Amino acid sequence: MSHDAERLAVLARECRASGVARRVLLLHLSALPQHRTRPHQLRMARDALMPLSAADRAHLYCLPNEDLAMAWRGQADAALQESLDTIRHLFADDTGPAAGPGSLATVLNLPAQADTLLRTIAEALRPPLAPVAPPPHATAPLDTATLAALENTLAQASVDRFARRTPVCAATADHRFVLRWEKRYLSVAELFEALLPDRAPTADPWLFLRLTRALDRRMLALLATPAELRQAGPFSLDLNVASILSAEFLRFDAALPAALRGHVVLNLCVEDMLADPAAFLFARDFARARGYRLLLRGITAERLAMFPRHRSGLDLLQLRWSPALAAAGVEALLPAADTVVLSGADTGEALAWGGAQGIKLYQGKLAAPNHRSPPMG
Amino acid sequence: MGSGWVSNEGRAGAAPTRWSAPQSAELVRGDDPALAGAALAGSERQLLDAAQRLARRPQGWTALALHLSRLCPPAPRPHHRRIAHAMLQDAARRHDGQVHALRNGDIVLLCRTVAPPPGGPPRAAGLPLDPAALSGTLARLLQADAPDQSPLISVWPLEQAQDALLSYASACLTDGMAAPAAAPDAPAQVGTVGALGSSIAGGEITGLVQRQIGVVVTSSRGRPLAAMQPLYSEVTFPIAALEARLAAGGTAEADPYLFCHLAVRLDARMLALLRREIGTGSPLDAAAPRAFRSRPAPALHVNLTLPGIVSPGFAQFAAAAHAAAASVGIEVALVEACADPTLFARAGRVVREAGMTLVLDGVSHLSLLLSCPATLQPDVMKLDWSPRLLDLRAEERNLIAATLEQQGPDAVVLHHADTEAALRWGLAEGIHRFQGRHVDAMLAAGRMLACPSADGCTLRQCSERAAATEAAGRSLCRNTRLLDAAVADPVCG
Repeated sequence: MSHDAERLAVLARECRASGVARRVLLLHLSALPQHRTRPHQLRMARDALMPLSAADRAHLYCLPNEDLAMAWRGQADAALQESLDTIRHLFADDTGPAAGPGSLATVLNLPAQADTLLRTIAEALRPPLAPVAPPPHATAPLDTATLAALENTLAQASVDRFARRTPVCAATADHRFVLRWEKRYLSVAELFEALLPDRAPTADPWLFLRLTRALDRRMLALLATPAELRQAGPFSLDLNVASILSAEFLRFDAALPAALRGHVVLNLCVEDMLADPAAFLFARDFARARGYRLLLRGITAERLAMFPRHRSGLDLLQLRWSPALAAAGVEALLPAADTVVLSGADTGEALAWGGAQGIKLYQGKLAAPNHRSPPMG
Repeated sequence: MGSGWVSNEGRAGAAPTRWSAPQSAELVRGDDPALAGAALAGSERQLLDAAQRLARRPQGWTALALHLSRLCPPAPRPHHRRIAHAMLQDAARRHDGQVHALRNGDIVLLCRTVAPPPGGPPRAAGLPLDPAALSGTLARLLQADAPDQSPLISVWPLEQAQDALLSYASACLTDGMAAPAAAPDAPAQVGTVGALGSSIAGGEITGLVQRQIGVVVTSSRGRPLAAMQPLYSEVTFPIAALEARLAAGGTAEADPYLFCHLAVRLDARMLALLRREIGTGSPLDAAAPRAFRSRPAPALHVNLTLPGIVSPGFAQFAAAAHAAAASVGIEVALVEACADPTLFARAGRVVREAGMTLVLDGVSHLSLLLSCPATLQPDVMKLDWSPRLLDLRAEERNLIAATLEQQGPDAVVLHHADTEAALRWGLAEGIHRFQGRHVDAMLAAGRMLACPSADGCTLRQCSERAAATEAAGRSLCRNTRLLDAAVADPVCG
């Protein structure tokens, strides 16, 4: 049991045994969709509880599933209301059934609801259904000095041990997944765990995007070594526009075996596209002339209307699964199904929705070679 | 797939060939004796020497000159040179040619376009180059920077056009055509941006803050620019001025991500400054009564990031602005809005609940072609003027016109309207709201006509004093009430 969970359980039992009154505000951050649990968002949620920290015997407990519990003694109605208002304000957009503003926060009165609190703690301690990467505990953002040092380190360090692959699969008519290509990347989580364990990589999204350029350079240098590409099958890479236009990319391109030409997908992100549209267009046409396929990544339900695939002129669009995609009206915004890669295909719901839309390409925990694929709609 | 520059090899969809890593050497020599032994006195001299040698035996040779020096700033950028050079070098390697990268940024490929005669010396690569295919690829790459590429690429078959190459090479060498290309601003290093951020966080920013007026142009009696009515005054913080003050190397604006990071740091200071100025009557007072001749006071526009809008600092500023009945617009950059649409939606609600206007800033015509910013539903969209808007293809023009229609022409400001051409294009498209240096000049001209103390003032001085927010920048103006009124009666038409 984690230290905080243990202490909160002790508090609940003591209140039940002694009859001493306490109140607990539970913030169920584990119920939020994944894209709303970035480190800076978790930090804002934590800050929302701070008005209660001035209450008598106030203490904040961090549960293993990222839920937070603020316990205090006595009256703190104004502070409680302020916290609840802030929480409602922060998560007003998360209208999913499990993450509605009303269901995100619970106030418990001890000792009457001590059993409820103990059940909640037990839930928080339950291991997740599927193995997942360790949750990011660090919330300190990158700063410029740390980033500069990290860029210098990356320029010289070997990054081979952080290189990872994940499959992108096609659903077949006989309801199987077959490998279409592997996404090759450097594991940012593992890299930070090794080099900067106290920093949350994406807590400052802009410095993280800047960092990805250094990661691109290292990945391209890694792939440009003959041993890496000699036996390689089709693969994809997340790259910045500036990286495609770099000397490192030219070296990678020179090293690419002829057999792989036409079978490499370059994944570009929307921030990069709009940050420098002229460079994006140049890079797009250059990469296409060199035989690469191009994918626009990071498209969510919220971004679908803004980024029609035909506008960017790219070959593929990576759509990130969320329950919001199942909302009415989204289908009308979808590009041709054979140009979509549905990422985050971690649940049956995601696969079922993708299948109903006729989507063939998937990326996620359930989209692995020889796994069962959804029936096509 | 692969519709690149190798279609001359008669293999539809053929994969591009490999090229070697970029090299610093700018000359790739083939094994043709005519090309051997080029002089070492610089690329221009080498080009002229090669042109003179080839003039004696031009059969089967073509020159392709890529005139990157003719691109309009900020082009040519380093990636233009890097990629174009790599492509031309690849062609030279495969087609027995050579590449000359000139100091002005132009790159010249001399290459065989006809296979060597039978029995001739063996070639490194036997297939002739198709200059049309190569120039087509180059033209496509440069389309965003130069919609009309005809001045950018010259193809001279040397049998017929050796004089064109010779005169070009001579001019490069002797007429100063080959003056070194201006180096674009280098991006600031991360450490430099950190120093800028620290300076912003710890120092007084008031002295660097500037403002610029946005106007609505009205027409009357057939005069399209009959009058300008000030709509808002945008408060800006020129990072370049801070960089100059700190003697920082490079510019943060050249790296959009570092710039966005810096903007987050700036928000807190800017919000605190503007809250402090409310009610002071200063140029940064959001509630200052700037009415002149009974005109309504223009609003104050502030650039903020999304985290800045949802911060406590904004709530405090909004409360103060509301109490003072100030009219405020909040400008959010398009790239910010796209980076986190959920936070943008929330920030939009915060702005509107505060009674302010939500403005989408930094919308270029290229971003309009690539995306649909109107779906973000801002109250106002600021479209950046570019001379490229005059040269768009029909489908691009239609797309932009449709976007403007969707947003509503009255909710569009043509930003960076620095020339009269910008105003004329905007008016032709139904846009009547403008902001930019040309507008500044017109406003200054209007003020000077109305000002009894304008003797001895220049248009530029009047513009600069209107942009300044500190006493030091305005002290030489003897009619600051008029300066702040931003009056612009019909002085133009």
